[in-house]
Amino acid sequence: MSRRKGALPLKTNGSAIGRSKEDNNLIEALKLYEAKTYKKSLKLVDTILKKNSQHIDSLALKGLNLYCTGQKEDAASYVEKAITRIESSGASPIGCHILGIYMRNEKRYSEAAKWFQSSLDNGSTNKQIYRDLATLYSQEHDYKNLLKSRKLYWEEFMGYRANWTSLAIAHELNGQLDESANVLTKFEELAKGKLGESEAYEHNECLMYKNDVLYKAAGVDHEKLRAVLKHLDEIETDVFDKYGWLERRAAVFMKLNQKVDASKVYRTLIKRNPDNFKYYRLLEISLGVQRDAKLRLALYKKLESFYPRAEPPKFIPLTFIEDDTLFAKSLSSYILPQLKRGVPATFNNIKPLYKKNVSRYSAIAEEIVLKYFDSISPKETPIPYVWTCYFLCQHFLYLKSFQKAREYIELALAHTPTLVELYILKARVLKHTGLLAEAAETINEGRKLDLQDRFINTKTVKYYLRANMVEKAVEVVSIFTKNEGAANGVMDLHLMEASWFITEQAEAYFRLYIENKRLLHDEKSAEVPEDEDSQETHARRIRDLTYETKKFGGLALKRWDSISKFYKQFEDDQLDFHSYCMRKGVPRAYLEMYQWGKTVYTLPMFIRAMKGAARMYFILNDEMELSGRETNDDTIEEPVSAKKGNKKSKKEAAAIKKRIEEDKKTVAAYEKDEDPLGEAFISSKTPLQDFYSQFYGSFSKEATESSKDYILDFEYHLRCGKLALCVGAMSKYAEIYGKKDSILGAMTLCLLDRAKLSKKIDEVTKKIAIKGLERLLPELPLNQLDEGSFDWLSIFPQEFEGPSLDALLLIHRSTVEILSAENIKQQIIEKLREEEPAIQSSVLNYQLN
Amino acid sequence: MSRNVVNLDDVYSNNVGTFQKIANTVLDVTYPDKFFQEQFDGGKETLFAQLGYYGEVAVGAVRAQLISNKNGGVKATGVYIQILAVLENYREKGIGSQLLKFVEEQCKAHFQHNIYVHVAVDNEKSLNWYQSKGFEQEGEVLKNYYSDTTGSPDARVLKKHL
Repeated sequence: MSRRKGALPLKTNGSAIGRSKEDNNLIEALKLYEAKTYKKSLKLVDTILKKNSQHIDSLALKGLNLYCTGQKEDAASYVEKAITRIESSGASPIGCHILGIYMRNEKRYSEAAKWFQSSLDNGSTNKQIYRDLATLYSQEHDYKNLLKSRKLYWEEFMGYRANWTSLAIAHELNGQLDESANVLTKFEELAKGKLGESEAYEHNECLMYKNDVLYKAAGVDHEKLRAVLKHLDEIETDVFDKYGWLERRAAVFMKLNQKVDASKVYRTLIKRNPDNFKYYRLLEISLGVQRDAKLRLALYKKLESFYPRAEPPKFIPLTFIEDDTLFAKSLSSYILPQLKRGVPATFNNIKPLYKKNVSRYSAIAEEIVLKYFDSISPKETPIPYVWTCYFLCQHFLYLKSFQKAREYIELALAHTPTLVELYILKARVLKHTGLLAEAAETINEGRKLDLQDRFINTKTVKYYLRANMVEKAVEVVSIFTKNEGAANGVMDLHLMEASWFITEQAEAYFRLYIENKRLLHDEKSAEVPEDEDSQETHARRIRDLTYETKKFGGLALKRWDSISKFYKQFEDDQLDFHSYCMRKGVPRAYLEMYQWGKTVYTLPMFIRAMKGAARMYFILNDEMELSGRETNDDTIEEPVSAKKGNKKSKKEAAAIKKRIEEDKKTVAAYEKDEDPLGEAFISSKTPLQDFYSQFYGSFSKEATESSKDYILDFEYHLRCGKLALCVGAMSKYAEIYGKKDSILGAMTLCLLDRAKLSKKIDEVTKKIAIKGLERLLPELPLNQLDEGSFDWLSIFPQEFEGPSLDALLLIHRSTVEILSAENIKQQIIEKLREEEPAIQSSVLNYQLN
Repeated sequence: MSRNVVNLDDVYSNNVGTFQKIANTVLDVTYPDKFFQEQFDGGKETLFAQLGYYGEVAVGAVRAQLISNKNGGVKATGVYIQILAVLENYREKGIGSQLLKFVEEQCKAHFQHNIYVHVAVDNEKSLNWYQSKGFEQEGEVLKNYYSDTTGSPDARVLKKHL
């Protein structure tokens, strides 16, 4: 679907008699604009403006034409002029309409709506504007105005089903369910007997949609629910979505407490798709057996005999059998046939059990599989042998017995070195033991077995990025991307919105940033050598490391910013669907998309990028705070050598320049990327605001009480100096995790630190925060706040659990000065001993600086 | 696709890595990467290779060369098996026989009557296997035939007449 540039018929308002010449010319220019001949239109507009430089409509049209030819800055200035003129001398409907289109192109939807509206208010007779308005109000979630415009448009064009459907949806969004159903019914009556075969699908969707509305309106009212059932019966022959139809029927029966009828429907559903776990669960509920293990077992035995090839009736009993002997027997008859057939996913199939109760289930599974493993020969039954090794490796990996996991995967690889799954698993084991580079090389060995396997290709890329081998990763990923006109696939991956790659790359760049910064710090604090040659090397090294640090930091932020742009794009992309889905007649899918659209900024990938960016922006902020006290020596100096005019230094400067150019080419994210290295991001003087505008603002707007991240919220407000909001985040956190939670203790210490030592925050704010804290945690020894010698870490065993590793890390990265930083560091290292190697090295390398 | 457990399929430039893996795992001799890439360089219609699959797993590999020119140096005219390997745990399942059958078919298709293979003198297993398939020793032992090997450098020449 192409994005419209606003090609819609601007009514020319009858004949040209009684118009100024300018207006006539403008209408010509508009026609040219609509024919997408922007340059010609621009020319004509210019001739009008030559005579009358204040002609509003022409100013606006010039802006729009400039926008469409890519001259966005000039466009903005003309639009600005037009708007100022309108403010002083009033507007014409055409001018307003043009401005509306411009604003919509600029994605300033509420302003666009405003202009479209004033076009109508100023007497435009172009009814199409209502549809555009409706689209914009949908995008802005302004339901009241949406309904208004949908209604007006519908009144004008009743001959289209789309308009009826959209009106019904608008009613529903305003909570007017009965009206919604009425609209749909009225159309059905009008269309009765007139629908052709090509409309059958749309009809089916609309019928089901009406049933949705009726069902929603019914609530728990039995009479209304029976009416829903009746409606279902009426539409049965016209509905194609049999699953939806049956599911609804069962749901109504459940609500009516006609459980036997419901169970019959669920059995029908299971018959249609015996692999859907959901139907089995619902069947149990409708039969009322979900708490009776004996009956349940009998039920599943029966179902298994009906559907011998289906997975759920075999698996579900494993989740509730209490008796160990019986369980072992059932588990064995579940696992062993799969191993014998060589099912790669055997372990993943039983992983839900491990998650429930790892000690019980893993012990029994281990016994069964080891016994089986001893009974088979690698030569006679090679396939079961290798997949059993694979299973055992995953089993021990889950239990974090890395040594044993390693042994089994090596056995498997020695046995069948041509199975790509084995390399992936071995790489995973290596990753967990902290050997990231070895893991990457291992998975790359597997990748070489089959170069056209995209799955292993992307996995390999991910492992290379985890090992900070960015160049290698880009090289491998570029095998599958379009690389025309680019040095590698990075640009294409941006175009394709490949979040997985961009995020991983951002994180790799972030780690490289930390590493280089540490090296730079070491080099700077090293003694300046005596002889001139080493002095030069020393200086060069500092210069190189400074460049690299800034480059990696900038790239990390730039990549994260791209993720935030992708999600903005997801939000904007909805715009087209507000009318498209109506025309296609898919109201149910539309509404699902529409509700989803309200949550794009709370989706996992966005949150991951947000948290990554938060770490980086917080570091930048904290460094700036510190350098307020000291001098900031991290700014990048241009590579100017001490001895100017020196031939050698000139040559060096040229080499550096060349290298920067080279870097820019390989990392460019977009065509005509103006800041490929992300220098603007890393040099920002307002990291917290940047973080808010790229991520946190959108996230906060959409996050609900339960999806909000209160630790992040706390850390953000702590740095903003908004201590009262910090206490707010703490109390929300305490509601979820309890008042003894270790992290809450860490937050308390961070807050007290700021309240005691911060010079930036005024006394009133501090007092309010302390009061709030007192109310939240009355047991705290707050009277010690004015004492110098109190050991604040002692509040942990007394008031809170822990401190846990995460709590200590929170304290560490918040530079809490009422505690000894060295002591915290020691405690973190102590705590790390309990963690697996991968976490140890990640914390040591990237969080303890 | 057939329902047999053992199947053969062509080697493609994308999965020649699998081929290489099998060859280098089974054989004492280490071949350079270039050797495996050779057959995709174009103009090498005289090379034919196959992968042998057990179930869906590639476990066997064969590559043979047609030597038809009169001035072929030391090698006699016919088809010369360069590599024939099956992963140890997948032997005695008919994979090697199928791979050999493939070579024989190629041989016939190119109007050749002799298949040659070189086997290291200490490789008893292979010698026995080839002999069971109708190969016979031909000529003297070639001294220092293999260079990059962990086994014996000397090779016997075996021949099967079709």
